[in-house]
Amino acid sequence: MRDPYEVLGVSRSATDDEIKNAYRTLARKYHPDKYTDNPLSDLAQEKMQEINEAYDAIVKERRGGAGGGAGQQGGYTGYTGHAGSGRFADVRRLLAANRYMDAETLLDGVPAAGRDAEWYYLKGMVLYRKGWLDDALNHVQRACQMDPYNQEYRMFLNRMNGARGYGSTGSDNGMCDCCCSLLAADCLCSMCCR
Amino acid sequence: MFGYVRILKEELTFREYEDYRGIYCSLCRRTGKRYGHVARMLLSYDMTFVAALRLALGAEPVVFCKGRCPYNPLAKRSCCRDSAVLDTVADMSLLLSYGQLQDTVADARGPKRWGAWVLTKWLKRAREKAAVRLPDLAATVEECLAAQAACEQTNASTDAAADATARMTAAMLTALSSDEREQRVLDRLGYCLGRWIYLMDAADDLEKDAASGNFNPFLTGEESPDFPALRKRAEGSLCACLNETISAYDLLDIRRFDGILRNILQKGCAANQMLVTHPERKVREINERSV
Repeated sequence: MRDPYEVLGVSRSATDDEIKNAYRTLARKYHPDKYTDNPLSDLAQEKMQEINEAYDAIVKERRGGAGGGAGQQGGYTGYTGHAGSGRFADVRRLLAANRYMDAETLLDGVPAAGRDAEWYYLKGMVLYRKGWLDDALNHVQRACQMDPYNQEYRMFLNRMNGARGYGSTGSDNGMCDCCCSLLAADCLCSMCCR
Repeated sequence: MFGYVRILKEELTFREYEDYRGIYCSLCRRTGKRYGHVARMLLSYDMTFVAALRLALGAEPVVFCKGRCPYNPLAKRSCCRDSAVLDTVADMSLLLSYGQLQDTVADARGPKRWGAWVLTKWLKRAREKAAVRLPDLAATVEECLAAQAACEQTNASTDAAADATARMTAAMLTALSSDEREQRVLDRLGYCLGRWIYLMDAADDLEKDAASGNFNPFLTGEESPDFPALRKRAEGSLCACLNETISAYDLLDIRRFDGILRNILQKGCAANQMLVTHPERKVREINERSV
């Protein structure tokens, strides 16, 4: 394991507050909410885990080996698709494994008559991962029009719309913007505003 | 490349600015050594960003020293002492700018076209040399330019139209690293940045293309387009793309020049974007806003 102080980018003589601040800044940078549905979300998760472990190790060391760490072990579990159920279970599995090109092949094989709201949502997800951000937005909008009460589609749409302004993901921007938009989406936000 | 990816000078520290100029000088010097003086004229700010990224990811230390530039011999400039690490970036720069020249020869008319034609003839040998050094990238550039030309015939969506430039940039940035994890991040970063560059160029040329009837992904083929509304739409696409680029950048292990690179992505690009999507605003106002 790397030196925990190096991971947080602080010197060994840093005060507890400095360490806490460094940890918070990094936690904001790698926060899972920022990388939901992103093809790099697994890497962000790795980073988050690394800083959590480093912070825990430092806290433990400074308390003389007693007491558990205060690091965030948030309830984030990566891509939270409902794999294994529904018409497009195979597509969702491929997306969860980050094989979005294969998922696209499967989706494109669906005849025009069978393209329901879920199809548009999943196609939007594939396009987003490919970096085709405009077509992705169009598809998700379509999904929401076809099924206005679906939370999953609505949240994805809100995230995409939220990213269309200046500095929406800037790391010095704080988490609050992101939390607000999530609250607006009727989402429980207890795990990110600590 | 088009030079949209540049610093917002007001927001840099003196030291960072000096380093940025040093990176530019080093890249220019290496390009001159490898491909001659004409190739130096084709350097762009976009490639300086790539050079800074290369140095930021590299394990080898970067040492600056003072030197004189043959084009401006009175001023002493910083320069990397061992600028050979930038050789690959110089090769990339040549391949990309040569591709762009070919594009100009195919599309433009008048003196611009002749100028580009003369340069392609002049740099033909240099391009062959670069293609031997980076065969994969050379093939990708050629393939992407062909895809681009085909795409413009079919009235493609913004995403489809930007795909070729985006893939080209992704291939270039991926070649900066040999670490698999880093390559994944660079691929996403490059794709989004290349897409942003292409869309910026398209947004910048809206009125020109509407008048000349050239292909532009933001134009919907109306008789009298509503430019402010089109620009508003373009701004949304550009913001989404830039935010995606920054999210990818956040996952890189940056050893140095983080201040410069963040300044470019978060401030310089945003300011340029504001200039393009709000042409009625004055430059000073934009600088004030982006603080």
